[in-house]
Amino acid sequence: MDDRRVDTAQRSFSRLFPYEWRMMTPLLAVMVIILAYPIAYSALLSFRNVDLTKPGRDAFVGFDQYVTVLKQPLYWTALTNTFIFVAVAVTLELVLGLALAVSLKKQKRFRNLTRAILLTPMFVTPIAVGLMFRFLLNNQLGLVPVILQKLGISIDFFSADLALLSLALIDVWQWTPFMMLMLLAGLENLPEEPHEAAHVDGANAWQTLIRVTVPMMKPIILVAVLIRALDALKVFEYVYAITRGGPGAATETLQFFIYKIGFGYYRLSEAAAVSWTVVILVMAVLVLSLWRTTRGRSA
Amino acid sequence: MTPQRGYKVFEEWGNWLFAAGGAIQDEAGNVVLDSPQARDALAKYIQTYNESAPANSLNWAFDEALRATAGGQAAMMLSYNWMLPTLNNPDGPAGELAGKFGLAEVPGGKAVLGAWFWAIPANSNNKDAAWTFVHWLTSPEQDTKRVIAGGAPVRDSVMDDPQVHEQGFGQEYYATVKEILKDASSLGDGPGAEEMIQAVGLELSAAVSGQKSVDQAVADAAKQAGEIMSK
Amino acid sequence: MRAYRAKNKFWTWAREAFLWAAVLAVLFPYTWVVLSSFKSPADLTNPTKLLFAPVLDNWARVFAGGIVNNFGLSLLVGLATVLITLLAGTPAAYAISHYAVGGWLARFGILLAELIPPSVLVLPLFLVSYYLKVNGMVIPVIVAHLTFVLPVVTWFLISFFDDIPRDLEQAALIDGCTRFQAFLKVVLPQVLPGLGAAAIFGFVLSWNDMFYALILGGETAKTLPVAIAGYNTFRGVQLGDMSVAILVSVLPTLLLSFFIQRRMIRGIGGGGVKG
Repeated sequence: MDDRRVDTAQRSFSRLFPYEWRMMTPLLAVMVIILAYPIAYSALLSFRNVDLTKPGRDAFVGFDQYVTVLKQPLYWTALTNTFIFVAVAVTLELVLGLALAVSLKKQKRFRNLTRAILLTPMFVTPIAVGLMFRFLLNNQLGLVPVILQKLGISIDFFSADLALLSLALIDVWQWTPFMMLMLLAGLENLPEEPHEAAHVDGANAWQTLIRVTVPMMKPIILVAVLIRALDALKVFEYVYAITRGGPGAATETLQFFIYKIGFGYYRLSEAAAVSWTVVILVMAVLVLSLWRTTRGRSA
Repeated sequence: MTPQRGYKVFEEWGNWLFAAGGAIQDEAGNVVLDSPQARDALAKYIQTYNESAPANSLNWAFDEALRATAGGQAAMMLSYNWMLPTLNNPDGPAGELAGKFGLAEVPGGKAVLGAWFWAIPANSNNKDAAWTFVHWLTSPEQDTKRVIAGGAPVRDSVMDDPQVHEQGFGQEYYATVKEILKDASSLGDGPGAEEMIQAVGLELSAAVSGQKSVDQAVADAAKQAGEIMSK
Repeated sequence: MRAYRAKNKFWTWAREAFLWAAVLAVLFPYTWVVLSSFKSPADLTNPTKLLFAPVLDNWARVFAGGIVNNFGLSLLVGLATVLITLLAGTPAAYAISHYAVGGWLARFGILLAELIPPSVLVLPLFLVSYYLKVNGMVIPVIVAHLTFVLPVVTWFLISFFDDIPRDLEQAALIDGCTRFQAFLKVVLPQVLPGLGAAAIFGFVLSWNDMFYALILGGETAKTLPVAIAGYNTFRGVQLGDMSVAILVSVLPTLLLSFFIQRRMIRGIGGGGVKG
């Protein structure tokens, strides 16, 4: 119906390269140019044994690197720590973000100011945030412990038990604004009727929130949580700035582990292998969990 | 103290180890970390941390130790000798305390040695030019200038030079540095050293934070170090 | 009736308190940063000292060190990244959403790039930029940023397009537009607020990156995060200077977010992801 005036040549061109694929070309072009080589390179790297301290010994070794990696206890510690970090941080961010979004929506005065201030932590580069908190939470040199000491509390923020939690809280400080932003937007777009209906039915604020608001926001909650979780998996700067993975292996995270192997010990192939195990694992989890959700939606 | 996992804790604890008569590697290069001296050293290190170090300082590294000392909240710190000029600098972090700090040898006599190097890559295209540069840089005149400005000395003679004493940081400082250098040993040599230091540093940190017993930590550290250095 | 009103008052009060507590939690670290930026080295050693003689040395030193340059570079990299991302990602998101190009694989495959850790991707990127002799320039940094901004922003945009009903396009087609004209004139305006939101999100991701910028840009193309990280020297963290650098990176973005966040929020919701 649309290209009625075209000639035969153009029509076959359209059939070979249909409109929708032509729309894809810029993205495909850019992604192929910038990602094809790096991804292929790193995948191939994981099947060799490139070690910069032993040049000339580079050879194809199949899955050897993967086996070496999976046999290291530190790898599993890093994996566990990272997943705990992500779970704690993202959950807190979701809850706090929701609370903030709901409160902001109902705020009468200063709304723009509050929102602007609350958004700023997102814009500070993570390593600066890490260093900031390293000194803020320092027992002798930091403001926070000084205040806590006045209340008689002494906390070792980076002890073996609390270090990972402290890092997660730093993540919460930095990224709750993102969650808040997404959820606020979702809130502003919800229709009023269900809320009014609930009010008429006698539901109180809490019940309305849990039974009406949150279920309606499921799609945006999903998007926000997914993006945030994928990003949190890559936590590195906080560890590097504050604890270097310690005490012991309490804050050893995947990215830090990969960084040490690749940039500290120069075993590039091993680092690539670790990275790919993470990619495969997370893709598997993602695909499985999202497939079930979108199956219902696209129907 | 600087019990941060990895380099910091090992750098510091190494002094305890040497003072106890222990060693990391013997002349043949075998790892001899698993020894009664090492266990003793680690136990004493942990005791020092629990009794004399600032509270809640498990992740302290160089920065925190420097600031605590400079601010007068800590009486002393185990650190690099070239920090003395910084501490005694009236415009530096110590403020009113500047000028009151001194350098002393580590108790036990044998210190952990850290060093920087100039190296010429074997496959360099400009080996001669690089050599000329290094040759010039390490000549007595240049070394003198560098040390006066605060750099680490390459030549013994520079540390005895009265001109350096006068224009640098005083005769006592350089004399102490010479004493320290007489008996100092690095943590590890060779391409596996980085990994070995990280592995031992992890175990040490686990012991200090109470996650592992002293015996377990020393044994694990020695075992891993052995595996890494023999690769 | 009175009980309801009292309860209401309590909740209003609780809400306000909660919000101001959050604002305090956000501002508290900044206060320390602001104070530190005016402190002399001796005063920096004592963080709880609130009354001190402020000095401008840190500010002078940091600005003399070219922080404005770093800021400019970060801005350039961010804008370039976002521009390319939007130009390439928007039509593709539209195709994936409205024409189901690549199906389910395209929707999730896009996220694959997001998952690969920078430590690994940086190496081939570095090698390529070295051999192409563009090492140390902004180009490899922009390319590296694209590798993680492009996928996630495109994925984001797909959900915006999902929300635009097909009938809008159909109506335009019936009126005689080509499909591309329909896209430009009818669909795109609908999704514009969402584009703005995605642009800002992508910009933040690029603005914050230190890792790629450090390794691919080096000394010659130093972005702001690299400059900030540079104050973490082997002789210790230069807290005063670093505080200034942090403020330089935060203040403009604070002003920016004050003016833009309104449109941003309308954007994410308006074009946005609904059930």
